[in-house]
Amino acid sequence: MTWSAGYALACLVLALWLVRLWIRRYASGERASRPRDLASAELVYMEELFRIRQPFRLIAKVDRVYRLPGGALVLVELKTRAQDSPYLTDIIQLSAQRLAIEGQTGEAVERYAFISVLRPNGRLRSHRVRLLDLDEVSNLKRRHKAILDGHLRPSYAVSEASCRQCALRPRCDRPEPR
Amino acid sequence: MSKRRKEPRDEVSATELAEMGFCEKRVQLAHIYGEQATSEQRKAMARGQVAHQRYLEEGLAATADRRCFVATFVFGRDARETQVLRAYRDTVLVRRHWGRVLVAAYYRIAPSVCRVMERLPATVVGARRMLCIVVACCETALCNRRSP
Repeated sequence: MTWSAGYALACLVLALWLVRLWIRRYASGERASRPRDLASAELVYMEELFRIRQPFRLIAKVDRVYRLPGGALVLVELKTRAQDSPYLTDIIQLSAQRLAIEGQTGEAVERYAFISVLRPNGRLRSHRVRLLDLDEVSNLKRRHKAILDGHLRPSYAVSEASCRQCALRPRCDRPEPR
Repeated sequence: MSKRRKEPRDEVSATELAEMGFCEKRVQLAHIYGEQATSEQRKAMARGQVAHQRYLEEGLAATADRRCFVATFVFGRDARETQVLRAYRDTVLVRRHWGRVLVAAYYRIAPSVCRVMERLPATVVGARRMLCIVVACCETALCNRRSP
């Protein structure tokens, strides 16, 4: 009798564990991956391309855009990397996306956005970042053009370690670290 | 591997601008010699593409999409019954945790059910009758929600 009760209990525990596993698996998805601050927001754009001509010609593809109950839009960008932190490149990219969406749709986009970092272990964490304003993005665009036209000397990556992984390192004139 | 820009002159992409935040020299070299990547970077890009595809699919599944596999198969894409079931999903099910689990599980098994019905047309009649009852229940629930 005791053995039977033990088996029954073990089966029950196993069944409950399987149910939990199943629920967790299927309850994951868009709801699970969206930042908590956007729990009541509506997903309005996915993988959408936006293009503007003014103040400069810009094209931006967004990962996800949510609309808050108040009507403003919030950008979310997915990044896959081991380092669980937002980079300056992410902020620039999202700032440019914000400019493109506002320019094309005329809708207000919040000055903040989220970078969802998906790590190799499958964990996703969202980071809230403050975006650059129009002047900052415009200045960056001007600098970009000046560098491509050869009118401005470009700066190097802040970290010399990142140069080791750069495919263009053999063509780069940055001195080797001592 | 090299990739040349195809955009109109002076048009810049958000991704290209973003590169400025990493290394301006790299931006200049990529402009001159074309975009290049190491094998590790290519693998990382492939992983990123897979993750983005899954991210997009999750988003599509969550939005008020037009999927309602079995009902579409039985009644047709724009039939009144299909619309009722979609409305019930969007106004009742997706707003509750158990409802979202149910919808996700349904999306998982529905394509297989449709394949079975495709092979055994006789099952469509039975499914239609059963779905008519479900549609009637959903319609009643939706009417009750609308009435004060």
